[in-house]
Amino acid sequence: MSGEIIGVSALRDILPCRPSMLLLDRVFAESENKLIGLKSISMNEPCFMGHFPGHPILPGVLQVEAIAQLAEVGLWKRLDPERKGDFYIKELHKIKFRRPNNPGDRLVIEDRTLPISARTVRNSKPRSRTIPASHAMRTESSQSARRSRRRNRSCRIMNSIKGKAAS
Amino acid sequence: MSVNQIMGLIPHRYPFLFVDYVSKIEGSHVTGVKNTTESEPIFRQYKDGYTVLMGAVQAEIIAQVGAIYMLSNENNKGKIAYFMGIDKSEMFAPVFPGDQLRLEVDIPDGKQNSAKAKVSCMSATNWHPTPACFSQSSIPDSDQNMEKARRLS
Repeated sequence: MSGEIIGVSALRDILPCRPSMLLLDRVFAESENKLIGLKSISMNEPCFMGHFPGHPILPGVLQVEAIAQLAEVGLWKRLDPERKGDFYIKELHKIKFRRPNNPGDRLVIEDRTLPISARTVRNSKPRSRTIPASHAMRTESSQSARRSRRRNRSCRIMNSIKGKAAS
Repeated sequence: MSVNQIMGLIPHRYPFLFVDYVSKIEGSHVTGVKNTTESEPIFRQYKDGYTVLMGAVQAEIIAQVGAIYMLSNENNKGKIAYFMGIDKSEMFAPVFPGDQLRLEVDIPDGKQNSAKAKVSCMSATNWHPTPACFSQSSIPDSDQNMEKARRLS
């Protein structure tokens, strides 16, 4: 599983969710216990019709749902290999939404999992970071872009993915 | 330019507003950003689960960036921009959900109420799903996957 990039169609096979509640576009399985998910945010999504008219912000609970879906992608093989049951969120601890996500931004979600029993798994510090739309051009390797990439952790995550894909 | 300002300029709305962000308008050059994601209604899904953006929609995405440029001109405020034609266009790669598109439009000086533009639409996404991940068959070994990903990106 490690080093694998999972696209939308494969995600549809894994997750029971369907658009518009399938909140992952792409998943990079870095190792057995660590997954990185990508979600692009576009104005063309139905949730922005009501949240809020004239002031589009991605609902925070959808970020939590995206984290939970990413956990399911990493765990179904271990917890439910025959695909008999469903996955549910059981508890949520200490969640903070630090900044709003607007259309044009991209979410990079990092999940690490810690098993605590045969049927329950704990997620240790899943993180969802935003690549702002203004950073969309940063894939060009200009000097200034490289400098700001060093500052921006989420871009660094993307870089490490790129490095992996090229090596 | 955020999506609110974009909606202030062009009359397009959900589900047919395809520009999420305009990073700069410099002289006659406009750079826009379009994020694609699965919950958009524009994606075409084939029977085997292969999901891809229709090529004609790519043309519309770029046309909307051109519309933003035309309508940001003081003389054209409040008007509606029409798509008049496509001269030469070529699609090089499929666009999958999750890709981020960088749209470059270069409009040479011309008449006030119509303009021809040189455009390009590139994927700015660093990591691509491999074709193997899109089919329902089992995924071959990861070296092969990476090789395909490299060719795609």
